[in-house]
Amino acid sequence: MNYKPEDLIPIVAELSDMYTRGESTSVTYEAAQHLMEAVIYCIREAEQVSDNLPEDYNTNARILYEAGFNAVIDKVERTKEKYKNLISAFSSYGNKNLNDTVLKAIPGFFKLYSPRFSPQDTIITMDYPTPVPVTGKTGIDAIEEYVDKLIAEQRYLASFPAGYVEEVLESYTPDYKNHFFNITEIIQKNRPR
Amino acid sequence: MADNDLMLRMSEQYQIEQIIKANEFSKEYGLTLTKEEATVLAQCGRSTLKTERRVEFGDSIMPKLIRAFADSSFINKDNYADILARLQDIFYLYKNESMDMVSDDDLISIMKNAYERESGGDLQYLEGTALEAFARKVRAGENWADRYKLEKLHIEDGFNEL
Repeated sequence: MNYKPEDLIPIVAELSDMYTRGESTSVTYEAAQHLMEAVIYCIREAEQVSDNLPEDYNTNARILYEAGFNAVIDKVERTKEKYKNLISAFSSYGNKNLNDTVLKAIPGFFKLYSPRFSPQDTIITMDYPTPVPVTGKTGIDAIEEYVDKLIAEQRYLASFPAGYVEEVLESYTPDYKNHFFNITEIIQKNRPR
Repeated sequence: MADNDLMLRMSEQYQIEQIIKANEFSKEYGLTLTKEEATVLAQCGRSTLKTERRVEFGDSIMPKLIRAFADSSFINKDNYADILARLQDIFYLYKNESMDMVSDDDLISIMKNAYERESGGDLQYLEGTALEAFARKVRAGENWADRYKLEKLHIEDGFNEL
């Protein structure tokens, strides 16, 4: 990308004006920094969809930003659909951490996420650990990958006979409902030979 | 806003021009600023923004401060520029102290009322006592808007003198 850093200032200024609803001529350094990071996050998203951009996108920060913002919106909608798919046949197998993460925390993300002012914020801590953790990503990118991993795990666990997963977990520790481990790892390590 | 327009409005020259333009309003009260005074005020504003770790995109707050305080009983042509500089400092300080929960217009209104009514024109009292009490209430989550309704300050429509 060949835009200059100062090309981002007008975009940050507009976001600042929207953020303060036009009621403040100034914002704190921290707020300005946060909004700059929001702009950069969207521009990085645009890099992933550059096939659909006009020819001069490479040197026009505003075109990049708007394309990236729209990509973030699309990603949110796509992830919501994936989430609906996840919960349509979801089982926590009695584990409270998995239950609360999927049924409370992830909806909390969708409720609080601001693609315009804070696209880079992941908001939730993804307490239920997936076998391969989500790393190097933030915001909707992190959540989409997390939901994908949860869907894959649910598909795997559903392949076992009814009651099997709970039986293995119970034999591993009677207190499995209150533990913060990854269920798949326990199943794979404790499958009867 | 057009990108070029923004960069223009952020320039010191533009801000000086806007401050001088406010003379058209303040001259009604016998108060005007020279170009030198306007330049100093613009530079002071930039310095205070840096001290208070704030950034201003576009128009500065000084023209609004001029419009709010030009009719003050405690400001005359001898102390006008100095008082504006102090008011600007106090404004940015209290934007931070009130955690940006108060709009520019509301804060200026609060400052003007406190300056005229509570502080008797004493900027130290305004900064250290009157506004500090207000900011504490804002931070505590009290409904400051109710507390500062016009009737509580005994200010009615058309009021223009102590």
